[in-house]
Amino acid sequence: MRLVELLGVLVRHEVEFVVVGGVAAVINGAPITTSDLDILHRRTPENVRRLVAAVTEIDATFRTDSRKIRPNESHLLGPGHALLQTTLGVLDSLGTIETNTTYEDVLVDTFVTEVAGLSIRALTLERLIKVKEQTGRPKDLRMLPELRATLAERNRR
Amino acid sequence: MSDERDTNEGGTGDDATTLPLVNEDGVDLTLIRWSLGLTATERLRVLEGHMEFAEMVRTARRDAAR
Repeated sequence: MRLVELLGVLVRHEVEFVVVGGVAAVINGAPITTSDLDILHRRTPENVRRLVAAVTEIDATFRTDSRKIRPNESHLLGPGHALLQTTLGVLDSLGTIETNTTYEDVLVDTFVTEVAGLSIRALTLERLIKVKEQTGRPKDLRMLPELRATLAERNRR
Repeated sequence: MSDERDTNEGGTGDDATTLPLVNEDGVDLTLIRWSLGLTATERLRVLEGHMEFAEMVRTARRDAAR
């Protein structure tokens, strides 16, 4: 997984997105591991066009479909999750998180940080904890103690 | 949040000797302090290293099963 390179492709194509999930946890300082990059993308036609161009450059296909279907604009304009395999690794591009929460909805709970010279917007640790609590999947619940401890440690400093 | 590291955490100061190593949930706080002492770029590079190692293990197991 070439994570930083993958982020670089998205930034170069001027895709508006928020890093969510495990990579957001790591950006926030949580010492966890994950195997994919989850982003919440803005679902405007212009942004989805840029996103399609970005993922086309890295040969993205739906990894849950053996027909190797490539994502197009209609796939990414909707609220669903595009679970993609790319030449740089696994990318989940989400139209919404939680219960229909959009890119615009979470902006207030994001921050921009520099990663290898790239300006990357990520979900705050506080909001990430709320998302994981709400999702309630076993893998999300397992991550919660680390996330809460990271937040407590950060607040202590 | 910026990409700058917090220089207050290194685990070697007087304060470090009084801080708990593990919290009530069993979380290793020394790892968290170490991670918070890195920049965001360094954190992602560490993660990339873990991902690379996991992929190597997966590949080795696949090859061994053939």
